[in-house]
Amino acid sequence: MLQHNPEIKSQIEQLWNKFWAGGISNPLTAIEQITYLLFMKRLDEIDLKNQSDAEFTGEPYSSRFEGVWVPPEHRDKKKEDQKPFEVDKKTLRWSEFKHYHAEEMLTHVQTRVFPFLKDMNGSESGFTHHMKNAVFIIPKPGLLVEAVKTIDEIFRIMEKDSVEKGQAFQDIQGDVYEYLLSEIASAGKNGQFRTPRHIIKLIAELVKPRLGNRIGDPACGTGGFLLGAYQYIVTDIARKSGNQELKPDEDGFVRTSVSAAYGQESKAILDKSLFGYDIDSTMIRLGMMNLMMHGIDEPLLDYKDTLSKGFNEPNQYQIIMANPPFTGSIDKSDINEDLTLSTTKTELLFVETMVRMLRKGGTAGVIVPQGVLFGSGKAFVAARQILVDRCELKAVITMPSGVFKPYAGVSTAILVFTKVYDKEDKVTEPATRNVWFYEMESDGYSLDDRRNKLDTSGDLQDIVEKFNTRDPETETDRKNPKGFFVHYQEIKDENYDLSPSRYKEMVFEEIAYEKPSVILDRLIANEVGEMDDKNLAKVESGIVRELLALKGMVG
Amino acid sequence: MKKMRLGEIADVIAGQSPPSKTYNSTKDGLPFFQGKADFQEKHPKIRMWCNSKKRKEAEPSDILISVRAPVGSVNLCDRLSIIGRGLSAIRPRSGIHADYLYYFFKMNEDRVAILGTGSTFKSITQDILKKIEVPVPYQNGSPDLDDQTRIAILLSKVESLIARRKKSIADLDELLKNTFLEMFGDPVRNEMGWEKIKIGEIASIRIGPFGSLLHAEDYVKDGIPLINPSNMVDGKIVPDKNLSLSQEKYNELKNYHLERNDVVVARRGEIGRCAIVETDSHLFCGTGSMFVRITKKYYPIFLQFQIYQTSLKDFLESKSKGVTMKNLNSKILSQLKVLKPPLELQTEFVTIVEKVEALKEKYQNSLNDLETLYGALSQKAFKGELDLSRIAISEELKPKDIKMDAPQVRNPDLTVQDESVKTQETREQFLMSGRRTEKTRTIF
Repeated sequence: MLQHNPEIKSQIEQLWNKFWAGGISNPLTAIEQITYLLFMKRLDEIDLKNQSDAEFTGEPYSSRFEGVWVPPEHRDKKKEDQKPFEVDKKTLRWSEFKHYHAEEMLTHVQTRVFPFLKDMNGSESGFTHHMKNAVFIIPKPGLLVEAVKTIDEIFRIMEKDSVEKGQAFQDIQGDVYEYLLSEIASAGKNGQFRTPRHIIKLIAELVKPRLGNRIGDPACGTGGFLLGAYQYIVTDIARKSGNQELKPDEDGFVRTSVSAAYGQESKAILDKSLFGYDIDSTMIRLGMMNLMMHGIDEPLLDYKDTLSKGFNEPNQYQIIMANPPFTGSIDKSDINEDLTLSTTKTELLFVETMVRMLRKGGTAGVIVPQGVLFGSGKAFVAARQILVDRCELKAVITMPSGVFKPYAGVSTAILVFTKVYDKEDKVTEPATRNVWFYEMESDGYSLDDRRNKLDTSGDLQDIVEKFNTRDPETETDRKNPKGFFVHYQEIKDENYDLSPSRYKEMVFEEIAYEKPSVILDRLIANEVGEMDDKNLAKVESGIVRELLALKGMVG
Repeated sequence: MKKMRLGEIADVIAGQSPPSKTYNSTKDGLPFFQGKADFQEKHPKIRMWCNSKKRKEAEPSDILISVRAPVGSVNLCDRLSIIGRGLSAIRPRSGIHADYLYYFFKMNEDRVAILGTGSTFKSITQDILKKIEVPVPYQNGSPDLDDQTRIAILLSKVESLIARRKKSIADLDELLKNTFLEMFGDPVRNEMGWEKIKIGEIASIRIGPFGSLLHAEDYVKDGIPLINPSNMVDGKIVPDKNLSLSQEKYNELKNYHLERNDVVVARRGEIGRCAIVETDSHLFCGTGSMFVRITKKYYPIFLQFQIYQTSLKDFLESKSKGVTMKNLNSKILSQLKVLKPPLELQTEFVTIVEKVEALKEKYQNSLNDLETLYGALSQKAFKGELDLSRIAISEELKPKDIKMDAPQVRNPDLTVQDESVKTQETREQFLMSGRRTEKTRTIF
């Protein structure tokens, strides 16, 4: 959607360039600082809107920017001694301090506005609860002034577009933040990758979240999967309400986040349905801002290590969508005692954690490194056995190694599974009868570091269509790696190997040869020229004699 | 024909590398094979011995298959030996002919390679190997050993013809080198005392364009072919239409147009690799090449032969700059001194070269046809589409009666069998091995 707005794109590029030139070259650090600025701007906008709403209806309204605020370091003083340090809250408002001169603005934001945000401590927004460790590090007055101006300009353009093009302000805002996030092209410090949004959309199509489902992501990062589920559900509501403006995006997926598409009741349900956890507080802040910018006012994200003893949410989720970190390792003593796998590999522990989190009948769509599919270690096999025996493993979709570039070249796969047995249940009959395999060749983007959009959506739409119409009775052709079934017993006999290459039949293009007799005749003619058979028998040349013997054998 | 899994018809023995201190080159112990590097056309070459007590053995008639880096190459073991971790031995069971199995794997090297997994290097597991399906001639409920033998005989015949043709071509190359030495001696030592001259004095030399002169949009399909080192094969220019230059760019960069009789020389990679332009079609000198345009009375073929086929090549190699990759610059080539014998002698040599090249081309065509024949016969044989009825199994290839003497203790033969007579003997023994094995087991 943003590709149709070159003006905003240009402003965002400028913003990034200013941070780069201003001394913050790490995109993750830059986006974090930009997020704080956006939050300041957002508080002001919301407050102004609420104020004007209250005036219109005549109701009393108490603005958070009324009164005075005393910095924490002075709060232990007597009241009269605090007076010199009192700050008029009005000056903490974006629309107020944006007019300050550069030096004054930097000092003001550093020592007053930012601490004021942190001081909210969740009283105004869940976001501020997670700002405990946040640090404002914009180093230069010039950078701050430029950033504030650019953000204002971006908001002005969004407002103008909203009026002129009829697109909801909320939707444009969300796209803007997503575009900002796309600049993060390096992995987080715990091995997190930002999942490409078209892969998230694909997974949403496979697991089909519904309004009212409790939806979780135990390693949510910037909230991409929760957002993907949210947009899928909103689109579903819009479709059912007869919306005629739904068009596929460049990847072939139909998505809208038109806020007007659903009523307040649906919104209230949906806002309380999305749960995310991450071990990285920076990611939590970015994730919360991402969801807020898309219209979810109070995201239910929390800083939590979902593999550790402190996390205990069994049997609670109808939908899980996740891309857990691949290369992590955890200290053995910290592992949640409910987990049965004897390993410290996080990619395996997350599999078991997600199975545990699901309600019976709940479905997960998750990304794993391909090593999980065929690793022969004991824990690898045990993890796969859980997926196949205790769950109905619906699909294994392997992805080419370029999908996560430029983060990493690792090969990955999507697993779709539905929980049938809980940990305490005895498996009377394996939950999986057949597993559907699909080898994705292309995801619609070049598989090099540039990841350029191709003319087609690759295999994405083919996967959705075939997954929805798959039938174990008819899809037995092992020669087609794009959609075939393998029976449970065969998988078990192969040590629960889940790699499609183990089961597919290789098709080799057969070389078309001339008939051997034709080749032999040509070989003989090249040696002695054209001769009749009688004279050929007289030729003494060793090669010719051997060729004639061959001709006698082959005919 | 019946498809049978390898695990049903053969034992698969994974190699294991003994301690390296047990390796030696003094022929102590048994020959030791580690991987594809030991492979030749058919039988492995002995480069190392090993006297370790702890080892994995391969026996005559085992098929040695490379199981890692790369996967799929095969050779036929011809003596008791020790195999390292890079190899597995496939030992045919009763009723399965070793040569037949060898030819099957020879034909399917590429397919086996695809089964390899791994990111740093490819390898294949025993489990996967054992699942490979082998088509086996079948009759009366059991493998048909006679038909396996017939197929092996047939493919062996074509194989030996291919080997003869390859030798003929190699012999012609040797003939030219010997002719040059006889006529002119060694161009570096110059023991015959010919006048020498720098290439720069008889020709102009130009390096190919810098990479920055050519952009992505300049490359097209079916344009003017670029000549880079990879386009010089065995002294001949082989253009690639898929990577060529647009006409506009070609017109723009006139300094790099190639003309008939230019000698194009590789600047990097294999030092001394070169080819002569033998066409008037438009060609363009690539960034990886330079070209020599002769301006005095001197035969391009005579120049090319010295650069590519004599000790001058080694001399050039030693003069090339660069650590990671050797690099040849125009100054080095310009300063290179080549022989300058009288023109009549050059003419005589060039005439010989042209005659031999024509003969070589004829043999190469024959070789290509033989290889096509081998492919066609292999394909039909392993699909059961060949009429084998007219292939006789020779008397000497039939199993000999086995005496009821005490079993002979296996004595490893450490002599390298280079003579063709012994090779012939060995091949006959192999063709017989399947049947002998069967008989042996029956008796015991």
